[in-house]
Amino acid sequence: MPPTINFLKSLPYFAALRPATLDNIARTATELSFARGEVVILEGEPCRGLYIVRMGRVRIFKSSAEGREQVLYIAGPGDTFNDVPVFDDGANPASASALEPATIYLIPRQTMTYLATDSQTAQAIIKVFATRLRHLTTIAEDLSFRSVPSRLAKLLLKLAVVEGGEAPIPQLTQDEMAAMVGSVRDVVGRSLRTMTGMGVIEIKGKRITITDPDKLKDIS
Amino acid sequence: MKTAIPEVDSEKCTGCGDCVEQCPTDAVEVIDGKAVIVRPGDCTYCTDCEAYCPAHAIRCPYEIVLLPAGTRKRTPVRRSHGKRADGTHTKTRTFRR
Repeated sequence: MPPTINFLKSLPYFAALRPATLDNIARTATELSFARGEVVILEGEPCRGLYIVRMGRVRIFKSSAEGREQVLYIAGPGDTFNDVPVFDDGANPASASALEPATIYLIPRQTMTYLATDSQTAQAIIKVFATRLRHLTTIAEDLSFRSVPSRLAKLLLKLAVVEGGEAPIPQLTQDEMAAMVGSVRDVVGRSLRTMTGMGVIEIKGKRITITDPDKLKDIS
Repeated sequence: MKTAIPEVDSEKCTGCGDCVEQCPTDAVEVIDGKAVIVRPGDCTYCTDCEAYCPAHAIRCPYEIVLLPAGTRKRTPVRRSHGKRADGTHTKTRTFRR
């Protein structure tokens, strides 16, 4: 099913466009479905276009030759990924895989480069790229200046939700946490044990409960 | 809360038995060529099976939860109550925030 005009209009890239143009974009879009863990794109492969998440969450990551991963960001509904090669004509700079069952729209590269000739859309594109650059700068800062326990504390604080609230409770394995903080499973396991020893978190079964967020903030 | 047990993806599982060997509580067995947590009550969620599975067929995800405000632990903070005229400090008390 093609994306609706309203959905396209809600995205920063297309907010300024007229309904007729949005209708044309919708016609060029392809809907793709992915199961949990399925690979959407691979780093280094030719770019097919811009991906827009309709449903589910997608992990955007870089892999090392030894198989270590660094998550760059998690794209949720309304987020785009693979933006860079659409405009620089290069290969996919990172890989993407579905964190949960996901529906994704693929907008061909040519559609996007044509839209970029419109100054209002070009401004929207620059804004998205500027936000992405800020985010990558923060990742570079964290990897350079923060220790693994500090990065892990920051991640736990960012992800944790109060039970019974509106947001679903995030579920992450130690390997997934390691990929998000740029480390390895063993170090994440050790850091979690240290935090437990400090009384900052409590681990019971599959649940990590942040018992002292103030102290966790001090570590982060 | 339900007993937490590892999630086994039977499509990925090759039935190699590494998880059976590694499990410290003998909670897992290979049945019909697939790993099965046969004694969930014995599983301590140590995540060793996940770490050793060569096929990445076992997942041990953690839920990350924040205690609701008001039920959280409060970190004791030491605050000094100022200086006396002679330069010495008044009594320091430990408060909880």
